[in-house]
Amino acid sequence: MAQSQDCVTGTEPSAATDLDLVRLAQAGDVDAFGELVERNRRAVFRAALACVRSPAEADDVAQEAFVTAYRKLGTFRGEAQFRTWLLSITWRKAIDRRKSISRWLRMAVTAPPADAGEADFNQMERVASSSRSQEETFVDEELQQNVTRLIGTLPKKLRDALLLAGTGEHTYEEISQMLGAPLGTIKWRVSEARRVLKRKLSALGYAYE
Amino acid sequence: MNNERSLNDARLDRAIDRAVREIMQVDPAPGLRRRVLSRLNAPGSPRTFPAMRYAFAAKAFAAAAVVVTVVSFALVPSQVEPPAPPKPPAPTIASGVPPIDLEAVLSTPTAASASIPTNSALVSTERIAMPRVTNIFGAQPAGVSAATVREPAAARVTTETLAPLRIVPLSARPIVIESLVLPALLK
Repeated sequence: MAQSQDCVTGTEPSAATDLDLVRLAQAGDVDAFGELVERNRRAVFRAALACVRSPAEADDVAQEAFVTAYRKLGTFRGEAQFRTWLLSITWRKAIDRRKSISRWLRMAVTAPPADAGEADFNQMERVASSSRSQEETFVDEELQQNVTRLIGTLPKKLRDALLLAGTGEHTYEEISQMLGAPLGTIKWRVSEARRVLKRKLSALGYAYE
Repeated sequence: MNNERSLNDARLDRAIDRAVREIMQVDPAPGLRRRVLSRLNAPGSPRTFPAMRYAFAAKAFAAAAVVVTVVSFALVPSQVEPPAPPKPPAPTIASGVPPIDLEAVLSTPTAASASIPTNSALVSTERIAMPRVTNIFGAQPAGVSAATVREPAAARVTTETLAPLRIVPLSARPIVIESLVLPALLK
């Protein structure tokens, strides 16, 4: 909760709690809702990013989530934290967006990136100019690329839990309420995601070097 | 070996943490608050005009209903028969007039039908064999009947010989009206 009180724009943070701002916004104070947006924008954006994996899409989802939250503000009774309620709305919007994206992507032909060879060349140049051990740097870069690629191949439930836990913005309790799964299930999914990634990396030859 | 494996595990864990961090630790583009508030203040917002959503839904529903009605009328065949043309009144034959052979009357060419011009070029002299008609009433009796006797041409009745209509009274007896007596109901 302390993270949500941060004001990342450099303006002076308001002393009012989220609930106070919600009451003001319910009374028609748009500026109070703007303050809520400011407090929660990063958490909302990163939750959306964990789902849709695209910053531009995540920005759209974040906007839709805030607008929806404002319209449904009358239904918020304060029984749960505003941030948790907002993140639940965000996750639902992100899931809707992901479904539409996946439908679009299914129709599109997945072609390999045209600049793959160029990326390899650039990587070799970076290795040559590095002060570290060239071999070490090259292996680390390659490992990093493989991990990033393998995260994309994880089952969605495991990947969502892993990425949300890695945002630095959401607690396990918040992730649990966002995804509608028990806390123990969320922890297991994160652990299982890491285990699956390591197994796949082992299959690529990274385990016993 | 175990030590090497744990070191490798730690290395993979670090790689996973770093990859997740690189994916997720992205900040939203500046101005998110402004963009959200501008969407909230935009005219035509559903919060501002909630009734418009229902108006659009009602219009869409009405349009769909019209389309369904038109399509159903177009697809279902018409069950109503067109009105039959009025039949000409049956000829009334006065009593006392000998029966008329209507078949013979109709087969006689009249002046009107004879006056219809025919295109002689279209008329063919070739005989067309007609299909044999089986008598559904069985074998024809050997005796003479009205249907089998062919009347002489002189006895044929033409339309000019029809007698004018004449009303014949059914009975000459006057109708007697008797008074109605109800003795049982008076008690």
